Formats: sequence, C-alpha cells, structure tokens
Amino acid sequence: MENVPDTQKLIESISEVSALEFKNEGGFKAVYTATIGEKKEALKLVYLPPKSDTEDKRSQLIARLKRESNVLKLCSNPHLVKLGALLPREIQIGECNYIFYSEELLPGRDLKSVINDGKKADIAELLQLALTCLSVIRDLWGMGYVHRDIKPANIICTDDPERLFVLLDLGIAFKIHGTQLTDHGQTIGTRLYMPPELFSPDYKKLIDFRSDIYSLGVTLFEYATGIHPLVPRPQNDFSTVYQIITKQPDKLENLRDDLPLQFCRFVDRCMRKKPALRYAEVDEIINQLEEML
Amino acid sequence: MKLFAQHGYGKSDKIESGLEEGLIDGVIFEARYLHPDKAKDEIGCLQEIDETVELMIDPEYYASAVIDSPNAQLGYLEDWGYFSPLRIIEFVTNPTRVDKIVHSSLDIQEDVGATTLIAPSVYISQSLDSMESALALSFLRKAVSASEKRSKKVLSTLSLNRDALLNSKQLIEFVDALTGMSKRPSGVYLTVGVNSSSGNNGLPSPEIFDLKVLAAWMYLNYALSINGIRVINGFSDLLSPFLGVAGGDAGATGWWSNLQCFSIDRYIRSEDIRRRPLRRYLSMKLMARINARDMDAFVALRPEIANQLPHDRDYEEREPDRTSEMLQTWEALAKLLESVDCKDVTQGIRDLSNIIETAHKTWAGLREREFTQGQESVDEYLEQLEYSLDEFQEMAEL
Repeated sequence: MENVPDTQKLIESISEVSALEFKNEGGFKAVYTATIGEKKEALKLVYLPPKSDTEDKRSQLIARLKRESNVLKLCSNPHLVKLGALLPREIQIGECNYIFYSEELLPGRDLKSVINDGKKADIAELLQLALTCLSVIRDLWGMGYVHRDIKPANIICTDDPERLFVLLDLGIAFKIHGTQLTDHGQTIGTRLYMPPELFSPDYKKLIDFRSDIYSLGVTLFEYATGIHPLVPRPQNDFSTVYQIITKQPDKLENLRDDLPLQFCRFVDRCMRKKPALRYAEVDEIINQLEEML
Repeated sequence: MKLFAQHGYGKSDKIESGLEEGLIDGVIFEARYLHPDKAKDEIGCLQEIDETVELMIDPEYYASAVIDSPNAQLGYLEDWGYFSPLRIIEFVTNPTRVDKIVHSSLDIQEDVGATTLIAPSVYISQSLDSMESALALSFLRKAVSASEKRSKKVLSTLSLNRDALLNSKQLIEFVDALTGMSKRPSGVYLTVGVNSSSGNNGLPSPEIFDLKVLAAWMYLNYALSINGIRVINGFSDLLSPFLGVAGGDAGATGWWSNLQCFSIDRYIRSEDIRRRPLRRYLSMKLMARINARDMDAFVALRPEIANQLPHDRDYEEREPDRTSEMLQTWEALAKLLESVDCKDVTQGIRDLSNIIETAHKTWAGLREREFTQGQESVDEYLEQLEYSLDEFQEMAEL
C-alpha cells in the first residue's frame, strides 16, 4: 500500500484505538492489530488517492469498502469474518487521506502459510474447507454477491471446531476493473485463483457464483497437493494468464490416489474452464459432500 | 437414449406399428399436420397401445416467421390459437405477448392430452448474439415460469440454425448464461436446422455433419445434461447416437427427409419439381442409408451391410412399403443406440469411434469391389464425424 502512515500518528487519529500493531500490507490495504475498548480487533486501513486526480479510483475505493462492510453486516454466515466495532470512516494524516474500519481478529494462520509449511490436508479437512466455502458462496449469491477473491491467503485456519475456516476480504473482489494485467493493486497471487472468464473484457456480464466455485476448486487442489493446479512454479503475468485460460490441470486423483474418487472429481469439475461445465446447484453439492463426511 | 417418432405428413400406421413393436419410446407431433380437434383422439389411440409412451406436440411457433409469405405451407398451424405473425420488434415493445403465446400454447397442449408439453419459441436463424436469441431466452424464461404452475413437465424449445453454432465464443457464452439462470428449464426440445433440406443420397445433410456443427450440438447436449436439463433432440436421425453419448435424453426421426433433418424452408412451398423419394435401407455398418433396390447387390458384396434384424425381411427381393421402411429405420437406430454407452461419455466416445471405423472399413470393402458411387461424400461424411468427436471432447474439456 502507498503512504503507510506512522503508527503513532494513526493511533492519535482514531480516538477509539488505544494500541496498534502493524501486521502486514497488500494491494491497497494495510492491516493492524488494534485494541478497541477492551477487545482486540483487526484494523484495515486503505490509502485514498488525492481528490485532485483519479477521482474515479478514489470514489470506487470508498464505494467498495462501504459495500464490503455492508455485506459483512448483512451476511450472517459464521464462516465469513465479522465486522468489528469501527465502521468505515475517513481520516486525514498529514496530507494523506485514508479510510479505515475494523473486523474481528481471528486467532490462527492463513491457509497459504499452512500450505507453504508442507501441509497436505486429509479428506476431513478438505471436506470441511469445501463445505465452509460453499456455504459462504451460497449465502453471498443469495444476496446477489460474488466473493471473487477466494484463495488460501484469504482463509484463516482457526482452532475453533465450529469455525475451522473463516473467509476474509470481500473488498478486493467486488469489482475487478477491466481485468487488465496491470490492474492497480492486483497481485499475481490474486490472478492465480481467478477463473478464465474474468480475463475477458466482457467479464461483468459473465460473472456469477460459478466464478467462486472455480476459485474454490483451485484452493482445494492446492490444499490437497501443496501445488497450484495450473501454475506450479512462479511465472510472469502473461504466462500465468495463458495457463489459466488454456491449460488443463492434472486430475486430482492422479496426485492424491488416497482421496475418494468422488471428491477428486468434484474438485476437477469446479476447475472447468467454462462456467457451464462447473456446478450450478450449490445446495446439491453441499448435500453430496456432507454425505461423505 | 430414447428414440422418438418425428411426426409429419402421411403418418398412416407408422407410429402405431412402431409402438406395437416397441421400437419407439415417444412421439413428437407436428402441430402443422395435426388438427387440434383431432389431437385428443389421436393421442388417446396411441395411449391405448402403450400407456407409458411420451406424447408431445411441437408447437412450431417459429414457423410464424413465414406466415406472410405467399408460399407459406402452414397446414393446421393457424388453427392452434396461439399461432400469429412474428415480428420481433413487437415483442420488444410488448413483452407481455411472449407470456400470452407461451401460456395459450401450453394450455391447448394440455387440453388435448399431451403427456409432456413443449413451450413455443422463435428460430435463431443466424447468431446467438442477436435479437432472435435474446427473444428465444425470453420465451425460455416464460416457459420456466409457466411450468411452475403446471403438473405436466414442460420442455423449452431451443431451435437454431447450424450457422448459429459456428461461433464458439457466442455458443459458450449462451450456454453459460442458460445454465447460470437461477431458474433453469427442466428440459429442452432442441432442434438444429440447415439452410436447405434437400436430400444427400442417403447421408445426413453436409450442413449438419460438419464437424463444428455436430461438436457444438453435442456440446449443447453435454452442458445442459450435466446441469440437470433434459435434452430431447428433434430431427436428429443418424446423429442420435452422438447426441446420446453427449448426454441427450432422446433423439427423433421420421419417414421423410424433412423429418430427418430440420430446416425452416419446410414451411415454404418449393417450386422445384419433386420426385417421390426412393425407398431406402439404413445400414448400421455403413452408418448411412442405401437405396432399397440396391440392397441385394450391396449385401452380396458385403454381407455385413445387412443389420440382421427382423425388418430386413421386408427388403428381401422387393421394395418395402413406407411403413416397413420407417420401422426398419427405427429398428436400426434403436440398435445403434444400444451399442453406445450413453452413461459414460468417455466410453461412449470410444464406442462411436469404433462405429465410424467399422463404417470406413465397410465402405472401403465396397470400393475394393469397384463400387465407388458417392465415395467422396462418404469419405467426407465419416471424416467429419470422426473429427467432431475430437472437437467435442475439447469443448467439453474431457
């Protein structure tokens, strides 16, 4: 993120916050652990470009964040991160403007770091992850939304048996502007989980919840095998997109013959290039997967 | 895969015989040649032969595109109440018209006792990115909504010209949109039309066995069926096994060439002088029809050309009557359908490849005996069938 502010100045700008610790940054956000009242929450801070130029980008960012917090407020799915005490608000620090809000602080690690440690999930863990994400996909779609950024880095693994996996970060996902390769704020990490249709100039008329199903398939494959199904080694943007659009992934059953065939075929079908060939009935797959538990 | 009779002019006793012999599983009536006042009795008689038979009526609403043509051949269509001139712009300015046409067509089909209803639609004549296509989707949505209030199953019509299937990008997006609808049809009555329905000497029309067209038709069956949408293919004839392997629930064929391949020009009276069509025999090993009067010569050269099925006897030393000819076709097609795996698409494609290879060898055997008539078109036909399997597998990501 551009213009990450001095932490002390940030505390002074938000009266509700008594302690603040920088955690990480990515894209257009910086994330902190904040003490708000007596609770620790995750504070998300977004830099707003100056009003004088790129007014579109600025207003889109604000709209996106407000939309994200609105969906989090309305969607009661327990596997979606909950909004915290601080609703979206603008502040100025020096000559820079920011918008911030808070979410619940989830104890645990993101799934990406779990996978990078060499973890290959067993069938119970994979089913749990699949069912978690499918319930979120279903509930969001029921509200007319698509998450659009389901990926290991946006999934927190907790120790809470009721909430083993929690999805984060709807904000980046809502509107992918033109899906250009040099899209501002987008990283390769995000593209790796994007379905082929999102690289089309007509993506806005092509996107629906089946795009999330694709991203889920890629995430499950990676959790099961430790490698990305299409881009096992880092590549440049153009190669990455080319692989996503044209390459057929290896079948999961070839890499994990210990997993039930039905589950492997489920993952393979989630990753079909054409939305029509993926699943259209989320409840139906949830029922099928629950029978496998 | 089921096999249905594609009804048309000159039914005689063909359908009754087909049902009595268990060769067909259903009938798709052509509203043009079935007066609404007679439909109930007609349907009742067939149900007495087989109470499980599926009986449906193609409302042929797409024929209303030619209603103002001086050469229009609409038969009884205008007696069916819902039939009216089609001006696409009127549907844009008055969208409730679609609703009225759909409901009135389904009401009358229900009244006459059809067991499965077919909702009307327009013909997509050129492109899946056209006003016609948008209107067809509108008819489809209305059909889905109308079906919720009815106890009988409703199929939505999807009728398109083969040219509309040539643009892969549009086809994929169209299918994505259709399968992504929050309320999808439970079934589709699918027809793919050619620009000219003139016969091709016993082979399917070259406009239809074009590899891209056939692959696209198979892809439609595959994508719709894996999304739980039942596909009944009209006028599919010899291509039925391909569509069955791809997931189609039924194919259909009839006794004239215009019942074996769909074309919108069937509703326009032709000025050409037409001879009565030759009697033909459908050979499974050749994957084609041969002239009945040449049958003895063919079989003498290559005995395997005969199907070894009961209706071969109707061709022994004579030409069969039209009913026997139709029964022979249904018998051969039903046997072909049994020989391909329609539940496992990978195995089914292997079965189709074997059938095509056998046809190559059988035709090659005829060539060895210096029978070369029509050989170029046969080679082209079999090649297109073969390549269509590869093209389909790529489209279906198999």
